[in-house]
Amino acid sequence: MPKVRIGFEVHVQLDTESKLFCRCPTDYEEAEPNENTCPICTGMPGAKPLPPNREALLTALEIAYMLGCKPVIGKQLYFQRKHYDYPDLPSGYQRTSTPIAVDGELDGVRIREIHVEEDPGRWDPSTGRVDYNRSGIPLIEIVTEPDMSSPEEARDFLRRLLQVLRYSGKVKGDGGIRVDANVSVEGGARVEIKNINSIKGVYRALKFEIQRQLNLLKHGKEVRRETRAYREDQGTTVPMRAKETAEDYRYIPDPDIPPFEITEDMWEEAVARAPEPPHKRAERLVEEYGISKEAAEALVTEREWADFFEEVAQKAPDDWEIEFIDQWVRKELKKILNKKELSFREAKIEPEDLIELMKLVREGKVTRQNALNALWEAVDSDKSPVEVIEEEGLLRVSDEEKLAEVVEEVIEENPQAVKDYKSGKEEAIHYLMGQVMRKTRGKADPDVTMKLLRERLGEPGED
Amino acid sequence: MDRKELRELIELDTYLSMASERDDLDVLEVLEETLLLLDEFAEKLKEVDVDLETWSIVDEPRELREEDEPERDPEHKEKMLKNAPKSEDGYVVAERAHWLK
Repeated sequence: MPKVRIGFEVHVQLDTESKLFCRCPTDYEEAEPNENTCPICTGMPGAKPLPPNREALLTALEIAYMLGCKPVIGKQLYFQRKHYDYPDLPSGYQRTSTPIAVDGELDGVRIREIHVEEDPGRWDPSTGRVDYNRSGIPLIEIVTEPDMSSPEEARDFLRRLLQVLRYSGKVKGDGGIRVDANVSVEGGARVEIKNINSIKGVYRALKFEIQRQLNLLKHGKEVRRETRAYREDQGTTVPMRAKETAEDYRYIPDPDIPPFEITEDMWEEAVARAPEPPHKRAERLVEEYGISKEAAEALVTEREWADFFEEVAQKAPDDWEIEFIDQWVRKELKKILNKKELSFREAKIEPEDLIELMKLVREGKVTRQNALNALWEAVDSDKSPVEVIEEEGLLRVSDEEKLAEVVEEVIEENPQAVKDYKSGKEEAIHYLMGQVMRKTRGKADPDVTMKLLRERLGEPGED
Repeated sequence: MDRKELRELIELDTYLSMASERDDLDVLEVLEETLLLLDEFAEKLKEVDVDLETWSIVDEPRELREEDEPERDPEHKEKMLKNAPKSEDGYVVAERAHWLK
């Protein structure tokens, strides 16, 4: 099969309070249409931009650091005007910075450069309606080298990239992305597919586009250099225009915005603020806590989850095995949150609460099942699991005298099971055990209960 | 080129051009007087007390803007919609993409 080369330009909104060149708020999802606008972000004649929002630059540098990029320090950087006409672009140009960081790498894919640019507004092609609330919101643009060679590889890379972006905590919403994918098959020209807004979409678009190019080449036809659009409803790509070059956009440095520099101090500030990248953190979790690679990879999919794990591991008593902590944080708690469709950020549970609960389990004061029930109750309430246990009286009954009374009642109420057991059906004792658990609402200590039942009934088949 | 060389060049060039057109002038005398005037004027200019500032955005990159509380422009939306050729429900209405039909 001919060699396939895939590269991306990925755009994500940065989560700043105000826009890149004006003070309008960025909460456009909640605002009424065109509420968050001013003469600057709607490109009114004579309106001059404010200096670039430092927070946007700093945030982009944080992400650059997480992607292993080198900052472009001590060089004059510019915002350039990229000209094109579209209803969502009132000024007739989009401002985009020269690269602020270069030469990164993620999962073997080289990151060529990172830019900061402003988002255009939103135009609904079917109604013609335009909302400029989004216009001027800072975006980060991440440009990769064409280092991916299959749609699967490209999909894995985007998943990892999205994980890093979400992990940074500095991208808007759930880190929704807009991707321009460029793809070429050996012997053909480079084709760009514009504005795909999901990983699934990218995967399907690439699958289709590679096949389309292969078919053309197979029949001796030319693959033209062009820009295509992804049709989500059909899973196909359609021609948009012949590929434009940098000249077509008539790039010029924006004369309204003075050049700026990234200083050493600024880079240090960004590095200090940036969280540990997830792939690096997974490696450290394996090394530092001795958990499996699979466990570490799972934990780092959600930054708060990994934080929670580390906090529990650090605050738990020294003699607790890491497997026990892993079991409760990664499996039991996560299972409950998944069932309740809660993220760790949304869950109302603190590491200390879980440690208290785990202590009760370890000390045998609460059954595992009741601990899980309490956890279920607590994760979206204002009570801690231990408070739930206390309120509902779920502490384990291991007092032999009390349990002996319950055992006696169960034996009296279930003569058939007793008869079965005595005639040799050993499994009948489990039924009786279940009855004890039912009467004590799961609080009976199973070991003590079994001991009492055996003492009372003797060995199976003794009669 | 130093001042002396420049002077020599001007003298020669000016002399040649003036001499070719005006035979009746003592070109060298006029030239001498002109240069004297220029020198005097230059001396006088030195006495003018003006602090000339030169500034270039390229020489001195401006600070970035620290992010402060966002501000809404309460009047802009209304003004913009009033000026828009067409608007509805708070949106500016531009062309529709008829090719999508």
